Amino acid sequence: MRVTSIPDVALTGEKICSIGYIFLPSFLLYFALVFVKRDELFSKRFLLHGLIFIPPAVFLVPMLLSNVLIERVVRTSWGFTAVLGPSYFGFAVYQVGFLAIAFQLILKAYLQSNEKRIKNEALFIQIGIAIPFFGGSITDIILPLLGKHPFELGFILTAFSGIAIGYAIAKHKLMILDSSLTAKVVLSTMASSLFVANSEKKITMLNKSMLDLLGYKHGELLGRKIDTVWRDSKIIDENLTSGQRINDYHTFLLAKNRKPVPVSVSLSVLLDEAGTPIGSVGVAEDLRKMQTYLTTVTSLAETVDARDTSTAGHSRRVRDLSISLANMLQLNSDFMRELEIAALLHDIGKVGIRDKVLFKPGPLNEAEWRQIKTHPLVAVRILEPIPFLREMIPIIRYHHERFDGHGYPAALVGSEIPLGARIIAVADSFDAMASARHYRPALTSAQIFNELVQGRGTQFDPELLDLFLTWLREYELEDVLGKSADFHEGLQDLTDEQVELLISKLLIGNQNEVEERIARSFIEISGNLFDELKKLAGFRICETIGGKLNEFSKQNGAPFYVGEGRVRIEANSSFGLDELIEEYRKFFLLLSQSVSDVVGKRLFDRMLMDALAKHGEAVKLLYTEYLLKDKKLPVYKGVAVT
Amino acid sequence: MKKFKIVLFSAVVFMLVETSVYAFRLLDGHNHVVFADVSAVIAAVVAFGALAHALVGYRRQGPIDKSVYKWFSLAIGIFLYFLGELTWMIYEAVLSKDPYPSVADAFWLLGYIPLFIGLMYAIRETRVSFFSARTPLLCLVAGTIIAASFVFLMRPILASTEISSLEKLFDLAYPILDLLLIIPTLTILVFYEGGLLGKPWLFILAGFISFAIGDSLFSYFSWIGIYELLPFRLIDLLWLVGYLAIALGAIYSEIIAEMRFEPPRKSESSETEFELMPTCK
Repeated sequence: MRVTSIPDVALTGEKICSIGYIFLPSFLLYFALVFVKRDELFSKRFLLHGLIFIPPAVFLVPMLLSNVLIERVVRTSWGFTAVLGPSYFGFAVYQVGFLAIAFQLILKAYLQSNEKRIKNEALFIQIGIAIPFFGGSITDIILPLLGKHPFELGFILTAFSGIAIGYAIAKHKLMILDSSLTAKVVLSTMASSLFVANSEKKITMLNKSMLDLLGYKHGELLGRKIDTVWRDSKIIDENLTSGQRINDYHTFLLAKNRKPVPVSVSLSVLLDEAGTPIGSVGVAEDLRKMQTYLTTVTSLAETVDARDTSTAGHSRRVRDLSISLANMLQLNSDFMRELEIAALLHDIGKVGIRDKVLFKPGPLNEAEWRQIKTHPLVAVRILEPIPFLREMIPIIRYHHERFDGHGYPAALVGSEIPLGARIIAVADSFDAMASARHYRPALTSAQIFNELVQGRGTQFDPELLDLFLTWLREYELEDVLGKSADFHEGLQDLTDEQVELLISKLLIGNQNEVEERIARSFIEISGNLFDELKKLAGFRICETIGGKLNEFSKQNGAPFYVGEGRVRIEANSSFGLDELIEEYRKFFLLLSQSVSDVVGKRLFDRMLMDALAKHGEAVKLLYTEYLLKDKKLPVYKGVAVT
Repeated sequence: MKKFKIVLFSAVVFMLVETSVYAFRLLDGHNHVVFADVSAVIAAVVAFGALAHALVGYRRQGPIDKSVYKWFSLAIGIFLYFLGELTWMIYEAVLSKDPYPSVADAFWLLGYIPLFIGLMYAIRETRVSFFSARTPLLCLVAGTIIAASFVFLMRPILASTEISSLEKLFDLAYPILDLLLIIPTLTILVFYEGGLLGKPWLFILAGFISFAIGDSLFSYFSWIGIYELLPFRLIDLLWLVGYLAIALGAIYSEIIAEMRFEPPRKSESSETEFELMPTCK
């Protein structure tokens, strides 16, 4: 204090000046919170952050009324300065702690943001916080403890903080809120259900109608990703990229109680002054009235199942199995919802089939088969009048198509068959095999496995079937089927013959096809292992292992090359399929051993299982039972031995 | 690996000098206090420097991802420890005041937060469930140690009327917080079992265990009032070992990340064996 020569006045002056220092860490932390959670700025949740001003308020009273924080002042060459009191310890904890948290918040925002402007803003705020954090620790804590009282650097340090943050405000438009405030007022007065999402797909605004629709309270959703209420929000990316308005997009929003709300959404792009897209405005129309009709139809489907005790619950089980399989494919929520409904309704067309045919204990004659084959088309006729179900009709229509084109009603081949229909085909067949019928008992788990595998690539989509088998092998069949049947055993332990059967299916076909199939999975699996390794151990270690594998290839004439963390396979190699697979085996063993040496066996097993999970059971068994073991493959010159 | 061996050798020499000073009582009174405090500051600087160097090394390898966060958090934690050591030195060596409890403890206690966060980052990046495998067993062991410490150390301290509440709080806090660092470090080691990436964590674990023993003994010795006696100040060496072990862990980790592959030379053997060879730049 340089303006007085009276110690008591200087002490009072120091105390008053220290009010600013007491509140500074809280202000900077609040400022950091505003920066990282600016979308929540007007929410009640954000107001809770005001609690961070309680500690300085608590310190303020003893500081002003006692000498526990500032004990006294001492005269120095440049004026009076404070001597810290016995309770300064607590204040130091608060000061260093709050500044460290603020610094970490901004640093995280800096590291995570891809926007140059945000990075620049964060950089200057970091500088603004780092100065009092590091400088203040030295000048206000360490030096006074040493009995040193340097010139009051605090003022200068605070000024530098102000300059750094001021520069961010002036130069990098920190804290511009005008556009969001304007949008908030306009949109909140509209009667339709509205939401606004920014370019990072975070919800920046919702009107009352939307909150009512989803059952949320004001502020609960602000700042959260739109995925919280809209799983299939990829359409927003399309909207932002194309800049085109999207009308009447039928989808589901997730209410607070996690129930899906069917809506029709129209999306428009929000542009800034320069015409750059900065977000999307969505208007949602509630479609729940249509669901009353749907409930009626679902009841009808259950009635169809209930016509016979052997099929009771079939539609629900097919729905559950289909959803489990779709989960493995990580499909979006809209697709899942469509699949769920389609699976429930897939056999609704059977209401048009006479009991005499449907429940005939013996084999069907040609005319009866023709009648049975009409049930997908009957289903289409029943469901067509419901606009809300229009996306699901192809799934139901084609669920009896076969992958090889020998199914009905349209004899579609491979990917011509809708994905949902291919999924239901697997689930439907599995449940039929696992359930007893009038004319046969339920199949055993081994029989089911063999039947499913025999249909791989002919009746069923091979990749979907492999994923289904992977999923199936994790459970007991009675758990999967939701029945208390005691004749089913799990598929956890396969016999050598079963393993061989499945792998031979993977290796069936002409050499080029099989090579391409194996090469694709090999590249992907090795790539996944390298990616994980890069995350855990850094890029150079991947280069090191790559170098080692390349040296091996060079020495052995193997057709592999590793570059940039990816395995490449030379085309037109002179190897036969069995020789080529033997080369894969040697190469993969070396790769596995190298990765395992770095991350340890336990972690390597986890990494390998994660990489294999995406490829299904046949590829998984090929790696775990053959490539990682010294075992002869069931293959001869490109043709599988079955 | 040569670089690591040099650092390891230097650390051993440093510890031998330290042990000699304590064992042969080469310094006494205030001189010893100054020597001990300066040594702790140097060891903390070495640990912080090694972690910061590892952080920069990883950062240089490519775009920042979450693997860098663990080194950043650990470096911040050890920096706060360094501030603690520095403040302790100022109190004890410069001002000749009793430094316990003091602002130094604030730095040390705050240091546990980023250290714990760093370990959590390290666990998370393995994507192995924290509650898988042997973690319940680790928690059981930790629970037993906490229970034993409570009975033999904490309860008598809590019952004591001779020390202040703040001192009691710190006496209890340090051993518990040390255990909170040891459990995740052990978990990381279990996840990387047998792998090269686990080796740095072995050093870091040794560091945290050393801190834990040092802190527990310090709580006990200062409670019964014998810490100031020279023989009992031998526990200072445990903190030095702790810092140096953490520094060695960071350096080892960086060496692994910088590993280069050297093609094998032609040898008489027809079988070519490949090995990952950590080399120095």
